[in-house]
Order: sequence, then structure tokens, then C-alpha cells
Amino acid sequence: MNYSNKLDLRLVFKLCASQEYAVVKCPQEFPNYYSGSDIDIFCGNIDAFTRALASSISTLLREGITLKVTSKPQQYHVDFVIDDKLDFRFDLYGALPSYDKVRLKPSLFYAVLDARQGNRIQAGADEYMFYTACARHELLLRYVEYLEWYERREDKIKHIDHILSHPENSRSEFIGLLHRYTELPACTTGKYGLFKRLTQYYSKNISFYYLRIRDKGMLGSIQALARRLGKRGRN
Amino acid sequence: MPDRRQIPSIWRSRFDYFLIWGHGVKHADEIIARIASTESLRIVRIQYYRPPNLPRFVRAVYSHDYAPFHHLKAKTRYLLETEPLVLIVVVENECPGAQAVGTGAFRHFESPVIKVIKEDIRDRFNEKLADRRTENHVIHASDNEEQTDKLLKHIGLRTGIDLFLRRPNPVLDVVYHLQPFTEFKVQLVNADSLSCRILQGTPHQYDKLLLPIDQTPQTLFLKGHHDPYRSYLAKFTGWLLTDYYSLSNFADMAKRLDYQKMTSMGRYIVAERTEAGRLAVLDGVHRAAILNHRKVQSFPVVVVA
Repeated sequence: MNYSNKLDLRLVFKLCASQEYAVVKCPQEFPNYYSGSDIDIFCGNIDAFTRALASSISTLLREGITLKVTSKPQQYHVDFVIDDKLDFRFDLYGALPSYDKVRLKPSLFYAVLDARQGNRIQAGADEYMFYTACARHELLLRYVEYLEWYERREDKIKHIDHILSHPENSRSEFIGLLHRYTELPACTTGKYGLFKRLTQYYSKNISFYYLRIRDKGMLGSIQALARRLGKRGRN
Repeated sequence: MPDRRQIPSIWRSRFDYFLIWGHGVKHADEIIARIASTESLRIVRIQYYRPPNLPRFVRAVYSHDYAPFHHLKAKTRYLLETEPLVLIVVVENECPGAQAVGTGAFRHFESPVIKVIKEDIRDRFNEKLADRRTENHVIHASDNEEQTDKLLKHIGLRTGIDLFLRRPNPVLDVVYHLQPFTEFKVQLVNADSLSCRILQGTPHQYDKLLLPIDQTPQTLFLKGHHDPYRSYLAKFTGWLLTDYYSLSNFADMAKRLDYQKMTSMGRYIVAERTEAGRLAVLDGVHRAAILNHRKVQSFPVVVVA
């Protein structure tokens, strides 16, 4: 499969160098990319980063090329579209994405930004810093991504291959980190008081008694209740 | 970000208003120009309002004032004789500050910037008797943001000052009164494919005509024909055009517009595609007219769904 590379990612990130960001799960082929692929970015200020990104890409716009921006709370998609076909997507996050299979502490997001590592990139005659998550955060996020998606997408095994390509000590380090940032579900036992539990229990029977009174009348209902109590007494 | 209201207003910008009473409306252009000439004030809305019940409106305006009620009653009696039409100019006050003025029951805080402008306008436009200014003020101004909020709600702007804080899109810097949108495209557009909705008729019976950009009053102004744009502003400002526009500002903007720099701050021209397939500008008619006048072939425009 050939690279698309219609968008020069080195130039795009050059104009975003002053922003606080960290690319996570950075593809191995970067700055090359395949058509339809994406890149995940944690942003300190998602609005400012999107503005910088859109501004840098808008200088590359031509006939038939558009930039599509879709915003959901704390997650934006910036799509580079050629002839109505997605060529490349920037998946931007302003907070930690939520996962169904594992609950992570929101502070992990800021830890990733804080510990980001700068990599020197050459764009033309200039050199600038391109920021990615540090190795242990990278492994942690890849592992979580694998857990979340492997059932539905087999290709996510690539994250495990990536983790296994790292030395033993960094693997044990990320497991420790995962333990630190994993949040246990809140315990709900004893959350409600006695009054609320009793009301909840009896409110379930209200419809039963309503239907009985409607069908048998008040007297019939009392007789039925008496019969039931009598049976319970004999037992 | 912390809630704006939790930050004391002396440490942030705030919204103030100037209210031009019926007997001062004839000086509206000069008064607005005086307000606009102040660097720390940005006019965010100009709106005429015809109070259905003038005495009630006067009471509503002064009900948040600090002066004792008996004083206000005497002070505002002359207003009941004025024409029931007021012009409200809402400004964003970048450096509000706070200055305690008056003594005893009259003591209160107000913004020094607002105070200076208010007094200057009163000196110039209040009626004169024996060469001295009367106290029949042509203008009233807010002392704090709460008064602005209450007045806006009174004239029917339900959300008060929150109206000016809303952002139709989190990424873009666009006018507050656009409909919110979460999805947009940035694409290169030829200037001649843009159209603008231009008001026709009178403020009370009007129509919006979709004109190509090179036929708008804005483009005609840039070509040296000033009258269509001047009469357009005179007719609709405060009624259907609630943003602040002026001929001198537009001429100045035409000289120094750097559209590429504006886009880096998220200030794109925003357009929507009409049913007929044309691109109608929603925000940025003046910028589009300037780019067209400069013969810029194509430029990035935000197109909303």
C-alpha cells in the first residue's frame, strides 16, 4: 500500500509548534501516512490548537480540497478531505477520552501533556520540535486502546506488538502506571437510607394493589389479604 | 475556566450601556462616534427601543440606581416629556476600574471611563440655559454590569449579557448573533461566487435581497460611491443592524486588512450555501468586499452546513 502524503505533516506541525500538545499512539510511518488514516492528539487548549491547525492547513487548500471541522464536547475532528474522500484525520482531545472497558483517572490527560517528549523534525531548512507522549504513557494508552477495541477490531493487536517490542523494564513500568491511573467504580451499597429503600420496595407493589382493588373491590381485597395472612400463620 | 461572574469585575472586562433618551436621539451619530473613539470600549450592540410605557421604563432604568428614590423622582420628571424612543449602546468595557463617587446616600462605585464619557456627552448635548448645562440629561449610563443585564432583560433580550458571551462555535471567532454550529468546512472560494443578504425597504417593512458581492453598498463604497453605504447605515443601524459600523472604520479597515492573519485567530468569513447553490455570507461582508475590491482571486472561507 502506497503512502498518500498529500498533506505535508511536517509543515502542518511546524505551525503548531508553539501549542501545548502531545501526539499519542503515533503511527510508525509518521510523517508519512496512508489515505484514510488518522492521528490522535491530546491538546492543552483544544480550541487554540484547532485554530492553529486549521490556519496551517488552509494555506494548502486547493480546488477540490476542503478542511472539515466537527466539534463534540472535548473532542474535535479536523478532516483533510480530497474530492469528498477523507484523506487524513486529526483526532483532537481536550480531555481524556472515556473508555467502556477500563476506567481511567482524568488526571492522566494532564500527566501525558506534562511529560510529553520533544522530537526534532526537519521541515525544509528549519528544524522544530514535534511532541509525542513519553514511552510509558504511550504504552499505557496503547494497552488501553487494545483492551477497548480488540473484540471488534483485530488490527488493534498492533498495539500489543508495539508493547512487546519494548524492553521488559519499561513494560513493568507502564503496568505500575496503569495501576496508578485506574479508577475503581464507586461502591453503591448502603448509598440509600432505610426510608428510601422501603419506599422503593413498596412503590413496586402499588400497581399490584391498585389492580386488585379495581378488580375485586375494597372488601374483596381485604378478604384476599386476610386469607393470605391466615395461610402464612398456618405455615 | 472559572465562571466569569466569580472574578471581580475590576479584574476583567465587563459590559456597560449608554442610554440616549428621546431628546438626545437627534445627536445619536455624534454620541456613538464619541463612545467609539474611546480605546478601551468596544461597541457590541446598538439598538433602538420604543418603550410601550415610558414612565414604567424610566422607573425600570432607575430602579437599580443608587441615588435615594425621592431624588430620582425629581431628577427623572423631565424624561416623561421626551419622545418615547431611546437608543441603547452596549459596550464591552476593557478597563472598567472602580471609583467611589458621591457622599452619604449618594455614594456608589462607577467606572471612571464611563463617567468621563457620560459627563463629556452631557456637557456637549444637554440643553443649555444661560450658557450653562441643564440637568436634563440626554444620556444615562450603567454603574455596573448587573444594571446592564437587567436593562437588556427588560427590553426583551431574555439572556441579558450572556447574549454577548455566547460563542456560536468554540473554534471560530464569529459574531455572537450567528446560530450555533458544530460542523464547518474551510474551502477556497472565488470572490465572485459570494453573495450577501442586503436589507431593502424600511426598518419596519423590509426584505433581504441576495446580491453578488460586487453590487453591495460595501463594495460601492470602496469604489468611491459613498452614498449608498451611508444611507444604508443611516436607515438600518439600531433597528436591523445592531453591530457597530461606520464609514471611517470601514475605510480604515480597507487599508489595513490582513485576512491571513485574521484566519490564524479563527476570524474567517463565514458563509452558508443557499438552496439555489450560492454562497451567502453570514459574517464578514465587509472583509469579503475588501478582498473582492483588491482582486484577490480566492481565499479560505468557512462554509457552515
